[in-house]
Amino acid sequence: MVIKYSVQGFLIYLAMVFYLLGFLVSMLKFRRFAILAGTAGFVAAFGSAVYRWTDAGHVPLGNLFEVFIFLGMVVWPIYFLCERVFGIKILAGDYLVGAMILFPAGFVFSGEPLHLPPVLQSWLFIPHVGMYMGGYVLLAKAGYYVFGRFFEFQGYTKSDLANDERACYKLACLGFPFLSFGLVLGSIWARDAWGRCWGWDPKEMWSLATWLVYMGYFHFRYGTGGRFPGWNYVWLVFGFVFVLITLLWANLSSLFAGLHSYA
Amino acid sequence: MRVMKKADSKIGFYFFQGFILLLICLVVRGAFLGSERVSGFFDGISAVFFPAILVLVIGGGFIFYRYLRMGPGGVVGLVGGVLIVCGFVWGLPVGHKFRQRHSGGHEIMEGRMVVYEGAAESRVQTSEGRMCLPFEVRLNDFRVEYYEPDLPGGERKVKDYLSDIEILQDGESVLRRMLEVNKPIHFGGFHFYQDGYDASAGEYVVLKVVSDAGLGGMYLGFLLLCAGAVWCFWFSGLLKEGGIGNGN
Repeated sequence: MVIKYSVQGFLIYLAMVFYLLGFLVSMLKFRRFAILAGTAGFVAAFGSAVYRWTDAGHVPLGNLFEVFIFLGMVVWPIYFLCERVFGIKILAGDYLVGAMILFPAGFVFSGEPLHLPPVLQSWLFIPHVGMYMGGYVLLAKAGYYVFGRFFEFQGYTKSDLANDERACYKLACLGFPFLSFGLVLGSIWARDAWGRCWGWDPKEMWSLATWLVYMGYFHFRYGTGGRFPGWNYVWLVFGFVFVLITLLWANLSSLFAGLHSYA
Repeated sequence: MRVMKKADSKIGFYFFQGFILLLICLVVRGAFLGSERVSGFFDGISAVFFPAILVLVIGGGFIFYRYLRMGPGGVVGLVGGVLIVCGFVWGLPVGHKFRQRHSGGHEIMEGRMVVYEGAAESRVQTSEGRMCLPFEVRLNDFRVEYYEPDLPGGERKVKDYLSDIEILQDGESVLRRMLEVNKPIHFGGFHFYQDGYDASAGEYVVLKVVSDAGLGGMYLGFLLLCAGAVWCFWFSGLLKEGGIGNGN
């Protein structure tokens, strides 16, 4: 674990503090203050991303350190918009997720600026990674939504579960096309860079498996007509685990050395 | 929200749940096996056999089980998926062999060519031996660009590889472009990529030549798949099922 004594590090830690504050205040039911803290966290994370961009001279999406700063930045506006547009509640857990996402950027990964290798210099870089990040943030929320709600209030009833299941479905509906775009843009980029659209690379395989898991969820939900909210939710938790594996394990484990090892 | 009623739909439902689970297991198994072993598996007849089963099962499901159609968006997405699988197989060695049989054996699927600076070349080394392109590729210039080192005297990282390439047909120049990483040159049904260079004297580059067979189908499939996803999940799913203003 490395503490970063730099402007970059300070901004990441500041964002984490605000998100944690948002979590605590949200648990104490001070919703407005929580939203303020979340916004402040976003501003700090945004500052951190902009600082990184100017410091490194490229869009900060080139390795896991930069990806996590980016995720820490987009997580708040996405959840905020979900509530405003689709009525999917912001949960105390969302603030915690913001802080947890920034933790690896703050304490685990090296923040040394890196020169982008030629293969990452493509117009598809931002859309490919950005689409995946957007999709992951939405689908992750679908995965922990019911747990978050469960801890928020007592006397959680069956109808609460059904309502929450519907909110999770909306999140999955929102996020799934992003996964598809990410997969397709990745294939187009792979053709431009390596000469083939699909290379059976471990990260590609895990992302395809994640995509299939959500297909399984939609198929199950459609086929059963929403009569088994508990089982729908099992699919979503399953998907959440696959998202985590694709995002982290496929990059960090030596088991899956492949073409996506830029971290 | 539609609820399954017919018994045949029930059988279809269980069948497809099992099928998706099986696909997930196979893909995860593939992730553990590594890219070389999995792509090796798709060199032979299994490259046609398994995609054919995939297309038949999904296509058959859509014909026999109404509930699977999930509206027009689902159908568009499915057609996209089938096109992607077909385009992919068409670009594999199996598809190549099929094309070879019908073209008299002049098809190049993938190969490498060494082009010296200032010289034109049409010979391509493939796994089936040396073959010739119907045009020539000339290398006018090759250079490597570097980033400024972080520290004075430090290691310089490569920024880009650039090859000034000209395509000649019957001795006449028909295309001249800078070949870069991520920016392959497309001409005459082939994509050209930089694959290596003469690191000691800088006299030649190695170009990878890849046929674009099946690529059009795949790209059309990509487009339809994305359109289907938007239609199915953003429009039908969010707006109709439980979306804005629905009160759910």
